Amino acid sequence: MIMHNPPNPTAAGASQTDKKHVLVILDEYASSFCHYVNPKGGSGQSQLISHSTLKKVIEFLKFKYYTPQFLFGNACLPDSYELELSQIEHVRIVPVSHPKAYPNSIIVINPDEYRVPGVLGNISAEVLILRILKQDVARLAEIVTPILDKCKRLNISLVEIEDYNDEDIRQYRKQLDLISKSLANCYKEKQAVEVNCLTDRLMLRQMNNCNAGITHFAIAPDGRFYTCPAFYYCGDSSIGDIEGEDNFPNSHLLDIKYSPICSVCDAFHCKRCVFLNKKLTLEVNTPSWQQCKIAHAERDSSRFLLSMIDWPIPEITYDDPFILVKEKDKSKG
Amino acid sequence: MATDCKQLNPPVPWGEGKTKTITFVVTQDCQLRCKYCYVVGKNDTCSMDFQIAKKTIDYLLEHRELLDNESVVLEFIGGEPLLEIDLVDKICDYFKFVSFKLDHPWFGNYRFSLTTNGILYDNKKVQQFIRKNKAHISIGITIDGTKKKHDMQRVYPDGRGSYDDVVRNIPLWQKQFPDAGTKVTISREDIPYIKESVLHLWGLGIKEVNANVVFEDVWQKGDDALFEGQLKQLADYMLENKLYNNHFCSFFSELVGKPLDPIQDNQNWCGAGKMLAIDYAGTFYPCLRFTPSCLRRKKAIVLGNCHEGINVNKLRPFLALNRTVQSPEKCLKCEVAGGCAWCQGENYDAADSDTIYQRSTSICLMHKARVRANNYFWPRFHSQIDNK
Repeated sequence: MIMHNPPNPTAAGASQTDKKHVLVILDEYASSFCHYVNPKGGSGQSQLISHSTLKKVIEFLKFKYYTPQFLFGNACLPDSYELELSQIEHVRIVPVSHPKAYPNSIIVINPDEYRVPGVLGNISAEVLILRILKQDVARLAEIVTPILDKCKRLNISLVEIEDYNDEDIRQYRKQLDLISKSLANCYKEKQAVEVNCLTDRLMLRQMNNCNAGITHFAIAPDGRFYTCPAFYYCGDSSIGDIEGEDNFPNSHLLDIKYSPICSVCDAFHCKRCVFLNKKLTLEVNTPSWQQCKIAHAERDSSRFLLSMIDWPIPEITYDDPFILVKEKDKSKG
Repeated sequence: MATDCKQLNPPVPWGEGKTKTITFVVTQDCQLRCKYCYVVGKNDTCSMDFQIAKKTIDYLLEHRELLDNESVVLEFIGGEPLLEIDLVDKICDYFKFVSFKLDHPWFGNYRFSLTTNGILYDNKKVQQFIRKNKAHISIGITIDGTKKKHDMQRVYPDGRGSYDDVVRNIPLWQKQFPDAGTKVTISREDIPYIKESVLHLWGLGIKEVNANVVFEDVWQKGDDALFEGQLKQLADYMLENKLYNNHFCSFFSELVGKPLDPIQDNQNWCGAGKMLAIDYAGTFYPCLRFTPSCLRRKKAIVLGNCHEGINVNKLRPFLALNRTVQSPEKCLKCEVAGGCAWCQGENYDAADSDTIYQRSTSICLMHKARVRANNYFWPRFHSQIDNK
């Protein structure tokens, strides 16, 4: 159902048996694609991972059968780097302001980009990531609605969650309801588009969180492993390296069953961002009240969306699914 | 007979389960340098300013949404709190005044609690403070047992034992607080003296002895057998002299060693986070053990301060804690887990990462020794009672 949805490769429809993903930060100045802020991002500068490190990283990924998602900054890669990337099937996560248009890449729209007039009008991609500042939440629907027909999936990522208060969350909920109405209209027009915080919950029957450190991890320009890029940029210690060093004590705490709060929750779509957990509550397994209330505002707005869309149970031609198995078998024979 | 038995009916702390305990660390100074003390940074410069205490009381009383308990215990601790008796007195007066003014539910539903080394107990100002707050005060004097045992650990900076300076105040304390108990901490060197120390304390008239082994990773091979032996000797003496009727020692409890259900018995043992500790600077911590002076390896966990209030996000991991989520597999499968304790501060300090969700199992063998001693005591106890 959901394709190219970093950093959540097991989003609705996918399974835990999917290949492990690795986020490879190609540029020290790579823009964030999620809740965290790269303190160096947006400066227009570039400091690429060294070619020798990249080579080693790709060899490692191939050896381990990992699928990489490369995080780009604003710089174009030299040919020698492109050659390395071509050795392995991958996904590119690229800021909208990047000078080159890579086919099938995931486009990240940062706050300094969506504020530039005209930028959003020219976008077209399968998957868009929109990073929203707190101060822009009150006009979220105004920003989002025009781009609903420019992608198949939109991931809205809130920045500065730690600063949200109850009023901000109320505003967010209001904006989500407006977007829900727009989405309902899209569906009436037979235009299929997903918005992570509104449509994921509709299709989930169990928790489906970011799962950083479990289903994916990050490799930084220093060649070392981090739970996710956010941990690298905040100066946290690495959890291992290509040579086989493993330094991740209490990593089991990332698993939802070790979270007393999340394990009783049904906001299945929640990112459950372990970086924000650590930053705000000092524990990776404990969400902040902001993260919980935001996820529940989304859950409630998903219900609102569901109430507006006609989601019929399709008519079928059989009364015993055994027929399907037989037909499949016949077609093979 | 059995229903009145003190050992069968352990004393219940005042307001159990409904009370917020707020600990004021009024000073980091102490006359003693007890060898097992977890306060590692004693000094005579860090004492609480009254303005900080006032601001703290104001905050606590004005934020009922965060502190909605029926009652409150204001606990004063140090260092040695009686070194700051004037300040403690002023804080208590201010609490009474403001809670009355605000018509706060805690007015009339409070206790002041002090844990002291007892050296200054007969001081004139201390006695005035006790008289003034008699109906709302509990005082515990820490005495470790016999002179030999006490003086091994509870010493002055020059190495002299403090037993004589403490024990002279016990009769006055007992007269004023006849039901008061004492807390005994057992470290490695103390094991051979457990039986005689508990009996000595009972002999002094202190009928309630709450004892625990230290949670730190200090225990060595053979300590458990020695510990079990001491407890069994104590059990024999209690049974032979029927001391269980009027005396209590927390080492013996019928709950010790029972298997625990992962759902029914999933509560956190420790109250860190449910209580609140405030240091001399007005900084808030989940309990005393999370203050900088009590941690060997880790950074303090700060919940806020009296100026900016409590950061509720920092509190959430403490309030969400339960037994199963922090316990290793061996504890979850343990068939004698009942009564096995832990200290969240020590868990945090000893953990492999900066988390409170990793239970230290340093006392595992000591707990099992205690279980064996309880398995020895209780059948004999019941047989003796039944025969009566």
